[in-house]
Amino acid sequence: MIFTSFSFLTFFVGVFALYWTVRNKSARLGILLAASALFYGWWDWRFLALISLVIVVSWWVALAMARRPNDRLHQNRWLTFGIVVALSVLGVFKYTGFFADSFAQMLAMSGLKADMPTLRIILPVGVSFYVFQAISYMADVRRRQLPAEPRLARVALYIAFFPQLVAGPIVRAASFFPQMERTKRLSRRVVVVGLRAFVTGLVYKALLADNIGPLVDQVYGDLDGYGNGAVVVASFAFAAQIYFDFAGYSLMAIGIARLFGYHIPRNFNFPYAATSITGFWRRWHMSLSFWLRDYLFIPLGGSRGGKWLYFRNLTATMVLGGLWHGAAWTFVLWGLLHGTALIVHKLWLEYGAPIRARFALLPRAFGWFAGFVLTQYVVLLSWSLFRAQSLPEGLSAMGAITGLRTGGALGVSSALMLVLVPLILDHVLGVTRWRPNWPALARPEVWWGMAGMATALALTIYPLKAAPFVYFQF
Amino acid sequence: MLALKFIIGTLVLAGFGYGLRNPPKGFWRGAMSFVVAFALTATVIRVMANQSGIVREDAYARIAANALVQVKTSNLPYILFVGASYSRNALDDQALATGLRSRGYVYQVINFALEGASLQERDLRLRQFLAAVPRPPEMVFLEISRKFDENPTYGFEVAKFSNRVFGQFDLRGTIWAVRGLLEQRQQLGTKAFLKDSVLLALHIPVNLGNIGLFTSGDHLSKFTRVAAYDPQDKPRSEVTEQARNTGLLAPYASEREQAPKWATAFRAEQATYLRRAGISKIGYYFPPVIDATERAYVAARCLEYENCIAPTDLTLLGQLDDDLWFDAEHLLVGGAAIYTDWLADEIEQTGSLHNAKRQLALELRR
Repeated sequence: MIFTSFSFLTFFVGVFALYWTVRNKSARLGILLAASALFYGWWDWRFLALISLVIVVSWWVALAMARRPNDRLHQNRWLTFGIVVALSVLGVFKYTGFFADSFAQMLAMSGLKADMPTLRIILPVGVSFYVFQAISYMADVRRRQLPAEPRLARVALYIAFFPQLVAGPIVRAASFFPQMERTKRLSRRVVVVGLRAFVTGLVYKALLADNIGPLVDQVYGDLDGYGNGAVVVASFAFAAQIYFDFAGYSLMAIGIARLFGYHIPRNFNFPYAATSITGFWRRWHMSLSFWLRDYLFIPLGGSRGGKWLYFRNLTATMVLGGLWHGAAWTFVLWGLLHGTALIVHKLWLEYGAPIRARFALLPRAFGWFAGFVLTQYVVLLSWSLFRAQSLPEGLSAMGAITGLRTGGALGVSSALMLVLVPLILDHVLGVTRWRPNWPALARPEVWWGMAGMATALALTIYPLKAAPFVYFQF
Repeated sequence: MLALKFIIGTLVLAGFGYGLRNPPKGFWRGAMSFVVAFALTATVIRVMANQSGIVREDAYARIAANALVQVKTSNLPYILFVGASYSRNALDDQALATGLRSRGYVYQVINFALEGASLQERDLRLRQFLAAVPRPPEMVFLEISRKFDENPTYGFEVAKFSNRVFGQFDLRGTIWAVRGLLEQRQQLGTKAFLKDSVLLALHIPVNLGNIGLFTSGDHLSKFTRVAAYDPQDKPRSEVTEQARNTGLLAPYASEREQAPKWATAFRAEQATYLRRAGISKIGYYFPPVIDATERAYVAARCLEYENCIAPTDLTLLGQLDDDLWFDAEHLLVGGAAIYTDWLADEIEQTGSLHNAKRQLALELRR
């Protein structure tokens, strides 16, 4: 059930009406939990067993840790057990094929026979997201940021809350649990804010990402056939597609949650306006970057223990972050590229002062612009790896962008660069926080009239077949 | 189209993402304005799309695109055969052109048929084709069959919630579907009537609201081309000798069955439109099927129309009494060859076409 599909619209209207009709808090939680189970089971009911296992283990581990609050060893053992179970689910269902294939290739490279049977396991949708949420819950209880929840249904709702279940944003347990206890009221503000986020996300996804996707597929489907110029254009298009797709999904999730009275954190903050790679990661998939920082980078040691340990931790975090996205070497390299870029940026901040001093007379905008171009170039390079179907393809696309490759003869229309127009407009209006100050918009007939026109225009490019979100595969 | 899509996307993003943030209070006035502005904008968009020849892409659009190229790459006058799967499997347009040429008629023949195409769908694609083509056909042959006459919402038999069905329920298609449904409600039965009415109600807003019109829509000339003639060389289901004896070779049922009123009116309106479009010669036809009553239905229609070719010739049916059937309604390639050759004779007998050989002989004699 994809957010942009007719079946989801029907499902949502039904759940929304039922939810606000009942007044009892527990009944409302029950409705959301049942709706989440239905939503998730819609893909494949067998996935429900797996998510139930993760929920029950998280709930049990948290309670076990709470039984001896002053015994750190006891708590650490239970937390380790919980994390191992959660990561095993991820490992078995997401990485078995990858590691088996890689092992077979390694054997083949060593000249050994490598035709071993490979286990192909279906990847349950959203597994990477809910496993991280479960870990967040157990770790937050261990850190005493919230008490262990004795009611299983509440833990289940936190992990399986349908708006953000399959592709985030990854919600922190400490922020979600208190919201379940709050009394909620359906106000005009709730509806306006929720619908606004949902509609903006819908525009991002259905009108922009889904219309850009086929152009990217065309070029990336035949990388050898297309010339370098075409690959560069397609990579720009992919940068726009993945932003509109994922930010669109996140906004829709935030909007839907808001319509049920829940706050989900923002996931994107105009990432292509970043002027450094560190800034990019503070703006792109923020819920994941902050999760990786708090539950991986800092437990690994963070920036403590000297420069080299710091760089090691940074690289390990980014490589594992890359692997989280997908079980393929392209994602590993993608993470490594970002990790390296982050290290280079840290080194530049630490040792670049003499160089910066030489350009001190230049306007600040120069430095800003140079940082922006360099950052976005690295991001564009990394997207080509992210989009490619295999490592050789990814390297070929990177070669095209850097001009190191002799490409094919096919080209694409330069009109394709138009995909950047909505992206630039979105970032400029978003970063400058532009709001129209037109008195006419205060009149309902003008406001709604314009909304009617915009809706009629929007529908002309609305896809009749709902395309899945790019991040569903992760 | 690409530029148009991104311009629209950008405008809508600026509107919904940033411009229209907080709706002012005043529900009823607002709702009225929304509906009026939506309807006006949708109408303007549709008129402009029609003027520019932008149509929804589906299988029939690809067949129309192929026909368009066929016409543009030849200077010969051409004959169009508009129909459904009966024609798609039975009418070898190139062989028919050759057959006609050997009889002195120099024409290009274009098969313009798609399986499951309802009367409205064929009409829609024919109109779109005629609007895009540089010169009209010399003659148009329209397939008649009971199955499609009796079901004004036949589109739902082959697809639901797809571009193909959304496309055929434009204002004209909807009016004919509603009229047909109301007239045929007893024959269809309450359940089918209600089901089709609900489906119709769900499909109409998609068409009238232009939903997805530009997503895959474009000018006919931009679509991938697909030839309509679809020769089959292996049977899909067996047609036994007994079935052929009782159906194909059954005596011609002479009782005259009435056509549904809506279908008759539809054909009359279509003929008027085609004449206005500069096509003076209109014919009707139906490829052979096993069921004798189906053939009899068309034979009865042929008493009403000029230039109507029903497959009731016993010689033809005798020739088809063999393993020449894809299924009980469609011919294999061998059967198509027999039918196409017979059809060339029948077309000659209508006397509608200009015989170049005869004309030359007459002129030489003078």
